[in-house]
Amino acid sequence: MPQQALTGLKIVELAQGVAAPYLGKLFADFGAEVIKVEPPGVGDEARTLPPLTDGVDFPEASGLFAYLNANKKSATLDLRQAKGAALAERLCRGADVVIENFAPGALDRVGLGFNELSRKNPNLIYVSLTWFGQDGPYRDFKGGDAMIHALSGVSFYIGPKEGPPYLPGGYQAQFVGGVTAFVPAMGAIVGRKRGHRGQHVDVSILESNLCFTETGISSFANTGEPGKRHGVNRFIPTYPACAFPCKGGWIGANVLTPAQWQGLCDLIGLPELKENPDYSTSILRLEHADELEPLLAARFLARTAEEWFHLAQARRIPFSLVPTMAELLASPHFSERQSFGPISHTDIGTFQAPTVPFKLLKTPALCGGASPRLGQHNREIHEGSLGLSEAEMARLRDEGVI
Amino acid sequence: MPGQDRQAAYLLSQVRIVDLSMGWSGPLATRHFADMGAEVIKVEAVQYFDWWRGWDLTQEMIDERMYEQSASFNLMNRNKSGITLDLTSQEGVDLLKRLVKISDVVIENQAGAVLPKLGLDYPRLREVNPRIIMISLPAFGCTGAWREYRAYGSTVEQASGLPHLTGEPDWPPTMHHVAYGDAVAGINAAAAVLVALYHRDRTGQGQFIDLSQVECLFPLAAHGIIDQSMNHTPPTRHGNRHARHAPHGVFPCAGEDRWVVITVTSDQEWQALCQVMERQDLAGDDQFASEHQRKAREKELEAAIRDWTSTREPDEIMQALQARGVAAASVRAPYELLEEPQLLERDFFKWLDRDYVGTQLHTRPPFRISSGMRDIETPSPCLGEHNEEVLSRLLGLTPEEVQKLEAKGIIGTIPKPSRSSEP
Repeated sequence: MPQQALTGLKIVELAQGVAAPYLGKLFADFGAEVIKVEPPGVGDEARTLPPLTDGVDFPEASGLFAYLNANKKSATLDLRQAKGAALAERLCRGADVVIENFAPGALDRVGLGFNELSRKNPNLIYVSLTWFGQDGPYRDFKGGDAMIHALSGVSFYIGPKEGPPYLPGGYQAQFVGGVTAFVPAMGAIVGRKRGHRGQHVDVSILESNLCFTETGISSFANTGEPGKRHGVNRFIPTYPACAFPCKGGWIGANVLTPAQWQGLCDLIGLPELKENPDYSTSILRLEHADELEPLLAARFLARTAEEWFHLAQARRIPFSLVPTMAELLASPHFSERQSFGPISHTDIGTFQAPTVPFKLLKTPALCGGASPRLGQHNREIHEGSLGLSEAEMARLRDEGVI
Repeated sequence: MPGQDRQAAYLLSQVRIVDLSMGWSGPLATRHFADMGAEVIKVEAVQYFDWWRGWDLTQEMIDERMYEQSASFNLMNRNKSGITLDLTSQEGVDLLKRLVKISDVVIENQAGAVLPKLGLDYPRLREVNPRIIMISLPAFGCTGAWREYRAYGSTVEQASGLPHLTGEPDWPPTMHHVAYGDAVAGINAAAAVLVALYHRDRTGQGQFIDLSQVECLFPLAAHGIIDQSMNHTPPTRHGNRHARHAPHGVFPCAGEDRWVVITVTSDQEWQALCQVMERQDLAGDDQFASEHQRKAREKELEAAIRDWTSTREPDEIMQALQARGVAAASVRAPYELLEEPQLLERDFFKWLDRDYVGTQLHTRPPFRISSGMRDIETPSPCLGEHNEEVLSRLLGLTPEEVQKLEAKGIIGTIPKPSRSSEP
């Protein structure tokens, strides 16, 4: 393995769930050493999050956890006990970056806050990645992807006209928070190389997800026109921009400009629609979507999604396949690009998961990797990094610290 | 004016970016750089301006300077300088190459064939400046059979498979209302360039970055992709419910189109919810005691919660439940966020005067860094606003030379759309 872009950086991850571990994952996949500190016994709460493998017991059953934590080292330490916190503090002394997502102020109380750690390690970059940020009236609120989708305005426009608004599935808000936090973390690292010192980076997952709605807020501020929910697969500024069933698979049909609309009408063999003034602009088509939809849907059944995709693109109309997960994993285009890589785990086995979505041609990220069992690297970290003796480790094990 | 008096106090003060990107994704990436103090020079042309200023503009709209009034453009391009260069002319290309020679990063999101045709692809820019970092962000990536295929944000979302993971099981693949692809690609692009910059600071080596906007959405679909690969079964959609936890949903509140999210993930939270709803009967009902039981009778549970929520304000419910440790949140419409207490308290918005607009709303970055950040200082550039400043300060052109370029139409400030800008 040639030297990677972030080889030599040392990261301590005092974090659980999805967002902060995804941040740690980006470091790990570019070659940084990431030491993940987990509570003894149960480990990171993400070890209980679906998708889970049948026939494997907690804390090793979660494929999601395995994906998020591949290429990291797992060591257990109970940070609620003074001895555990003191050991973590020693780990952080030699770290370039600490990643944490405890409730604001919680780590200050056990001597692992930014002020405490940066006194001994003034170049430390300390990233707090929490649902709502380090201050403000919601700082102690319980979060969750659903809360963020609700409060960020993302959910409001999804779903039927009459409601309810719909929540995007999975952990999407957290992944957005994780990659967002990587930007200031790397900014601080680059800045440090250029003469700046350590930093406390405060990232809010809510604010990270405002990237989707800030344009809507800003348009409203200028025009005073509130948007509304137009129904499932109906949204500003155009129609169609949604999926239709085909002879095989689903085609994503997207049309914005007049040229594309005319191209679509010719493509599907309904040239008379070009002359209909009701459909002449993107907004008018959205208004008449209910009558337009069955006309389009009937034609799309004539060919496979794959055929429509290439025919439309040949006319410069931005169609796409809408692949199921199985179709995605079998896609030759994405296979060729190594968009998915093998994650291996002692108990789960091997499965495919997304690789880092940006390809630095000289210093590529790892493609997949091995994911640690809970405490798999205890000896290396406890004995190697912290210099504990056999007797000390035995005592700490009895006390439940490690 | 960005570029002048740049304090070394900013994290990225010495970083200069030539920004050929347009629309949403690329400009969002460089906005993060600008906010960390990099010098971002946005390059448009009077013949071909950023399509986010508006597309298919009539002469009348141009006369009214509509291209200076786009809220989205003005939101995305603060803290940047703006110049125009006609890159279909040799002089324009030469000037751009002189800028690249003294810059650190080039970012572009034109369709696949555009830059090679202009003679501005990576192999040629690397000859000009071997240390340059260049990033392209096409929808499907720079390699593979689909590399030249066109896409909007909705195309990107469809291609990622995400629509199969949202909505009710019997719905067609369901799109998000907002185009997820652009924003997520922009953030990933900023991250990518920073990794390359760190590598270059250590080794002196520049490189090319191939970013596919579709691939940027795959992690957001990870739960579905992993389920399929690991368990060999297609993932199930759950609507607003959860695979295991109950209750978990969006409930109607008093007033029109007002909603609240409530999620319960433990028995303790269930008890707290019953207390707040003053439903001792439910709290004491053994048939709801465990998660498994609650899941089995979810419909019944949801009806009871709906009875309680439908006469109350979402914020009242959120506050009451959060005070007892139950996750709850008001469903906000984007236009309500200007009054969101959490954002106001964190000073998330800033208003700044902008020519042809009056006062323009900005959102601050979603991250705070103890030091080295640049506040929102200058509004988005008007078309060609910094032509003279950038060309004289960075390339040493004389006022006469600048005038000559303007007379030839290579630079300018008034659109002359010979090719229409197309999103």
